[in-house]
Amino acid sequence: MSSNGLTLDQASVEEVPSYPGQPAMWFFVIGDLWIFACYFACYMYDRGQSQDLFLLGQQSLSSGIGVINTILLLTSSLFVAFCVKKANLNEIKIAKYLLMLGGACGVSFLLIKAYEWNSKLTMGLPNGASEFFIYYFMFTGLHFLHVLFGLLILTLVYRELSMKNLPRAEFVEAGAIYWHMVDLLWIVIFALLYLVR
Amino acid sequence: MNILRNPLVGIWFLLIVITFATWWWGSNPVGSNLDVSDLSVAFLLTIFIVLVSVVKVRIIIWCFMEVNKAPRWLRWTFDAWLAVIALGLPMLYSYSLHG
Repeated sequence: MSSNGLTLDQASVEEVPSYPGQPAMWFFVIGDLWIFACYFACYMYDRGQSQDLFLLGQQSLSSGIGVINTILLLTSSLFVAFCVKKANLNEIKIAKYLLMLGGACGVSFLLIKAYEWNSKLTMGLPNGASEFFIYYFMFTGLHFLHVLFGLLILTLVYRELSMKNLPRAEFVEAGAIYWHMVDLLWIVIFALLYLVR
Repeated sequence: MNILRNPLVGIWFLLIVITFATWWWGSNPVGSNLDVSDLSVAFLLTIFIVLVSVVKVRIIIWCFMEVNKAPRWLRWTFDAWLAVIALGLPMLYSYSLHG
């Protein structure tokens, strides 16, 4: 016990910067981001090689759908960030409600993405733009899987919040960190696929 | 009511505004007077869009993921990733476009 009444552990927690969540999640997120950076680099190089054909493929996409999906993920990130704050304050009921809203935005994202894929495949792809669409389906497909996995994690967080004992703060925070990563990856994918020229 | 007064709501609103602005500008570059098939115009537009995306991503990392409170190694790791996206991607694109 220190002189001001704090234990040594409490004192050290106040002095040393700490990261929310669990270290394993941070390592996973960082690794995933670097892998995606390699994919993005391949895309930009190939885009420069045949800029006109990539532009042709890009023009057949609806950037409005991309914007709606971006807004959905940004909003879901906001709900999940608030969920963490409420969980830390032990306002569990509100935290669960916010988590459900965040998850609902994620599900809406997946439905819109499935609609976009379906319309692309039924209407046909422009001739010569196959390389662009290989990247399009690879990026959006991988991201789709990340969102699905994120929804599974949010479900586990909801279960944690529903336990009789107080929820483990680091578990809730780790789930939120993964969800924010899904959001930030989409922001880069949206820019590269829908907006860059 | 407390939630609405939280700074995160303002940050979220800023991100939404940036998203709409980038979308509008990316779809109609400066009043549609620019020819995006011109390589230099395409390159400048790409730099602008990538940089705006990096700003948005950093806001999410700092404010939503709360990396601003994390140890230095974690902050630098994220900044290194952002630097690679902000500088590496346009450089690679330029090399491929003009090379």
